[in-house]
Amino acid sequence: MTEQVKRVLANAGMIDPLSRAQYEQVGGFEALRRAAADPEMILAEISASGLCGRGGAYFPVGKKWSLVRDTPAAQKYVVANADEGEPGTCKDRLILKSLPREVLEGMVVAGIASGASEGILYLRGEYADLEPMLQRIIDEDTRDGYLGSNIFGSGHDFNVRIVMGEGSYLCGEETALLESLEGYRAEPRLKPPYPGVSGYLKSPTVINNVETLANVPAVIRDGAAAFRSCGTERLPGTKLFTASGDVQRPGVYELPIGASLRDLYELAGGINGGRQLKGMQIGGASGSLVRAGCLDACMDPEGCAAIGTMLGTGSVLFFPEGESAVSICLRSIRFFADESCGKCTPCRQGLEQMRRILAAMDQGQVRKQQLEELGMLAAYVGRNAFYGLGQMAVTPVLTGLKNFPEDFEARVRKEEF
Amino acid sequence: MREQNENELILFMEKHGRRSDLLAVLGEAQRLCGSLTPELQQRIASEMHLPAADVASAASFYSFLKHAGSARYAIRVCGCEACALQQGSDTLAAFEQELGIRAGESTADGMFSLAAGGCLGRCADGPAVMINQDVLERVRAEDVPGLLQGLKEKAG
Amino acid sequence: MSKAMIALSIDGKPVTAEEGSTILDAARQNGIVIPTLCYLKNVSRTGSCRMCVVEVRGARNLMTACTTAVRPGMEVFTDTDLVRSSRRETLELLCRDHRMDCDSCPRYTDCEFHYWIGQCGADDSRYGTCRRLPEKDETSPAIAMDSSKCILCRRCVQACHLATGLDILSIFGRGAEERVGALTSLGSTGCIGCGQCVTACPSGALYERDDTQKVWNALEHDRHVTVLLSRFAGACIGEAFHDPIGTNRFGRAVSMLRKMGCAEVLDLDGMLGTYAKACAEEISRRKARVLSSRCPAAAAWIRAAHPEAASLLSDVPSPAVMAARMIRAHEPDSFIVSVTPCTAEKMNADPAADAVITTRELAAMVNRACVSRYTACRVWDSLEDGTPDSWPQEAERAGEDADGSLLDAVRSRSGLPADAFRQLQIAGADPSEFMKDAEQPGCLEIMACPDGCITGGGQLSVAGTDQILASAADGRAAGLGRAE
Repeated sequence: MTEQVKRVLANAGMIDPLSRAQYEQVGGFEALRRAAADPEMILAEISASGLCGRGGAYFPVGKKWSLVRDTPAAQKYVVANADEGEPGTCKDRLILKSLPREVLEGMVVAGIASGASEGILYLRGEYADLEPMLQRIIDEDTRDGYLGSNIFGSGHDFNVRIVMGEGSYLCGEETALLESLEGYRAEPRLKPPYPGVSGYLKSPTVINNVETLANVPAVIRDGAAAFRSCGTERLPGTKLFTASGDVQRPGVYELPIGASLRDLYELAGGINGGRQLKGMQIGGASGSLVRAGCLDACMDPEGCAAIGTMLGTGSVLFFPEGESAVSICLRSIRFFADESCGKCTPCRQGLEQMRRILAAMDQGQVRKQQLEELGMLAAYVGRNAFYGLGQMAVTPVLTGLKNFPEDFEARVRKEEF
Repeated sequence: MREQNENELILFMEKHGRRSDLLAVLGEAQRLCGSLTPELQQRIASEMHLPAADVASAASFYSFLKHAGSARYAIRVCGCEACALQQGSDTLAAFEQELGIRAGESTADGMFSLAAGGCLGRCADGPAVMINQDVLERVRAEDVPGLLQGLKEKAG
Repeated sequence: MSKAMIALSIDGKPVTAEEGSTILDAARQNGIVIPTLCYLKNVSRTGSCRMCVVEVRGARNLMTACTTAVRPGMEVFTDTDLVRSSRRETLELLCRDHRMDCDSCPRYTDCEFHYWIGQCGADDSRYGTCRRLPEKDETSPAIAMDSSKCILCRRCVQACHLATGLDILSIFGRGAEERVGALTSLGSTGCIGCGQCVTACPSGALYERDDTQKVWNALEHDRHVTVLLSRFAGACIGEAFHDPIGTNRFGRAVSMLRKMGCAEVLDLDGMLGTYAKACAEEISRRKARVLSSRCPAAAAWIRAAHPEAASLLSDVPSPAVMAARMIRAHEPDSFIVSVTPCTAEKMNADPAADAVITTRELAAMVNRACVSRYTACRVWDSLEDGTPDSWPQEAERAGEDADGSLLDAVRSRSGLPADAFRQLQIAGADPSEFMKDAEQPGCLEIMACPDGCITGGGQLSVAGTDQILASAADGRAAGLGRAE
């Protein structure tokens, strides 16, 4: 029976999230003390560890922080992206709820490494219930010298404030998040310039996912080699995978990168009621739909690519026989059509048109021509959209058509001549 | 009561008067005054020295801000796949039946509005339902009548 | 300081372009046509409409030419099957929500959107006939909008922001519910009527209020129609009949107006001397700074947004109003038409003229008079230059002491130093400047349109005409020999 490998979640549920004393007992702030005393060490250790972003893009953290460090500016920022909005993903919520100080400690270390003295925790509005606790921790730690001015007498400052999201999936994307922070519509920006050079208020800005930051203290405290001891060569470490769907034990499970889908499936207890597993959607609502036969694929970039999907946020939705790929696609497209910023033609008009076709298919039957149109539109939007939302939103449809053709064909009228 | 909230909002705007504070101001205004009416947005625009259209444009983008929100309780049921596979569509259907409205509509008495919304981040504890600012987990179809009754009683 | 040149290839053809150029710049400089809709030189470059997509070797997705910088060795393909089908798809999706009213649309024959539908071979009814009804906002005396024709390119939002900073037009909603327009209505949101949004719009969504019917009525009832023809309107109207930007067609415009039945056609330049003299006299009388009222949009802006400076506003009416009053005094029975490059002139409570029409409206009248645009172009080409009629005696010509600008003409008559006279754009103007040193005699001329009246809101839309590299202002000024 597979077991979780708890690194990030080692102390989740074991310590009171509000208690600083308990956090220190399990090694909290060791990393920060070391980092404050030897800032040069941070980037070396982070780069050696191969830690990559855990929000879906898997960009090397050391590289991101170096860019900010190397860009001269009067003020730099660290933003913790807690705008977890990808459907099927609730790992960041778990971290914030049970181990908030891991994230804050990671932010300060990032600040020392990159030269930033201001931190912003961008918390999605739907997690507003966590705000009072997080604010209380920030206030206490600032009062007692663990945040704020002259941390541990090191001369480093790092102030953290919480900014609440107001309901926009796009704020999970770093440039849209920056737009939102600046008081505008959360529409993604053209890149270049990259946030590391010109981010919040045109200053160099580190933007990292909550899970990424939660990994940082362990890397500094226990060293790069320890971090690399699990996972893959290219992507070391563990990942918090979210198993969801019609399974016995949906939830967040920590496994090494490269663990198989079957490992996760078993931890989640398999499909309810002993029914058959039909397929999986990997990576969130924009994830590929693959058949149950892919269960032995490894959850790392190469393993996922081999079955035509991407790792994304590490969320896996398991669906049973009886659930039609058409319904899954309709819900995904409806979500993305609603969250689209509307700036570019393919996403704004194309997704809406796809939604209409899928809704018609969900209700009854359509002409063969409309099924063809669906595939053609999906290819068009995927190739032409301004930004990832549109580019990725069509993935369930493209893979659904490929891997579950019978579900779609069942909704096409048999033309009788 | 309303004047006190307005004064609180003005104080807030004095401390948060930059363009980059706009979202925070709009969120606070919504929280204090219940709904971001066009008049309130206009007021915010003049206090912050921004064109009225800019403020309205930003507000109209965000799910929590864009509806002037005349209903006492704005109900958003997660419409995404994880919740759906935990019988989320039954929950939505139950709301529709109990309230006598479809998703996207409001009740005639202005008490409830209903929408099928995006992921609320409770994917392991679905079906998830957001009522105003609060998110409830594991809301099954059979829980809906009791839930609505409780809300009506609280409204008085 | 010259920039490095980058070598790349477009459609197999080796080309060079300056470092920092986009693929679109490089293509245009080399005579390669790439369709665009949301791109407008110096106004809007967002990469959102996706019309200018091209294939680039090595890139996973299609790239927008307007936002992608050239790199050495880049291989660009602008005309592959994939590119063509993507463009068609983009247009067809836009058509789904665009009310196809072409035959009675103000942009008929001059519509960028319609042009590309034809060029790219898109099927405008692929997703069914758009069933939207007209959604007209005609509350403003100058600018009107029909949202059922808006293709959400946002050029108007950018133009308003850049020209005036007032942000009258903005984007509301998100995704498929998105709409572009005024917050409430154009007539109630402080729009000053500069019309930069109209010249920026690639479709028939934004247009000036139509006052041509008044002129038709006058002509049909055999009224004595006197036309006050602005030099910019007359010179640049050739753009409506395929004349390249910069061709001075003033004389031909005079002939055309006569052919249409106008009894008298006067060159508004004939009023400039009188205007300059009146301004100089006002400055010396007030012994203070004067804010010129020549630009009706700017005057409206001062009164609405900066009333503290309203007392500085000049009482001297604009040359067009002055001219209309003079003609009215001499010819009480005339039907006076002001033909202007300016949409804001329509906002004047008392323009003194009986009708104010823009260059575009006049072009539309010509098309209608000749029944079809095709005939209009032929008639236009056949005309000889005409000479305008003479002004009444008391109208003063500008005189040789002015070296081109109207402000200079005022200055030379006032005898004050050059630094007492300045021009400002509304966008970025610092209102505290207006009152500073107001007791120093001089004149501050505030303009709305970014390059002056030559790119007024009533002029032909630039992108709908030639694919040019220089700005419209430069092109037209070069042809006219002056910018104002």
